Amino acid sequence: MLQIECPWCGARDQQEFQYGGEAHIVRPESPDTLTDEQWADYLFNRANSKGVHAEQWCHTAGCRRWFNVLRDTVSYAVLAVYRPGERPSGSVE
Amino acid sequence: MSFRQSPLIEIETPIHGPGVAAQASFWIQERPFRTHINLRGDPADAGFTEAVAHTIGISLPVDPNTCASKDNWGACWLAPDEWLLIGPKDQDSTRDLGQRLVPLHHALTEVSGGQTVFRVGGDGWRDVLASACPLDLHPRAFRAGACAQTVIAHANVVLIYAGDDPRGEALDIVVRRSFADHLARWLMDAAAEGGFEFLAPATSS
Ligand SMILES: [Zn+2]
Repeated sequence: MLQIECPWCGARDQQEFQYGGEAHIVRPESPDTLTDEQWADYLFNRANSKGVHAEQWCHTAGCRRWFNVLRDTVSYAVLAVYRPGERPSGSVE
Repeated sequence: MSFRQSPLIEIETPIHGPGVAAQASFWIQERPFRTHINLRGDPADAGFTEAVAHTIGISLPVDPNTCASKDNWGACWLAPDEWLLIGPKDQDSTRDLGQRLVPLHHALTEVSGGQTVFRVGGDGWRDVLASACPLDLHPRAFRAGACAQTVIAHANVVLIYAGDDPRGEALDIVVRRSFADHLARWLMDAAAEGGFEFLAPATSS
């Protein structure tokens, strides 16, 4: 099991959290101007990184806030947690 | 006349569960029919916090996972803009609070019918809970003034440290009524080895 640091509640067990997919995907301003390929890219295509991955988590059994986690998808190490609208400290590849 | 019914209606208390050493290191007692209010608002809005302080005498805790209490009321931090207020059975303060908050940005939801409180204590309470609760319950991590939302045996709960119980260190577990029977039976099972007393419900006030 992972231990994840909620930005509000501190370190908690993984079973209190829900995974929310890749982070920092912004919904296009005007979907009606997009081609099908561009819209499909927004909807379906993900980085699927092997290594450092920015992802969204929700502390569903706790404070129910969404936040971001930088996690290594190989070692499962949680490298950083940060609130919505923030960027992780340190450089990200 | 009240038609309110405890969710533990099918568990006939008191129950005496002697452990292997013929002792009881855990006790559990429902505190039924208290007033539960889910309150949301901006803690930076002085009008909002003053309205709460004026009606229940508590300034809302802004530090995560802390609670404050005064007289018969308690306020638990649930999120940066959300609290759980638990107080006496009578609804006067709820009405008063609701009226004071009307002109302000807020959400007040009366959730008394949807959840109940178990108070647990005894020498073994931390061990009993630790067998299916992922929260760190060690005294250095969970102590006076603490509250936390977590999971016990798959049921979402709010844990509130109860420092005011004459029987010693105790914990209030707030649980949805649909999970209350499951959780009560699960706690009895978890406490069976060390022994437990399931006391008759506290008289509500
Ligand atoms: Zn949290």
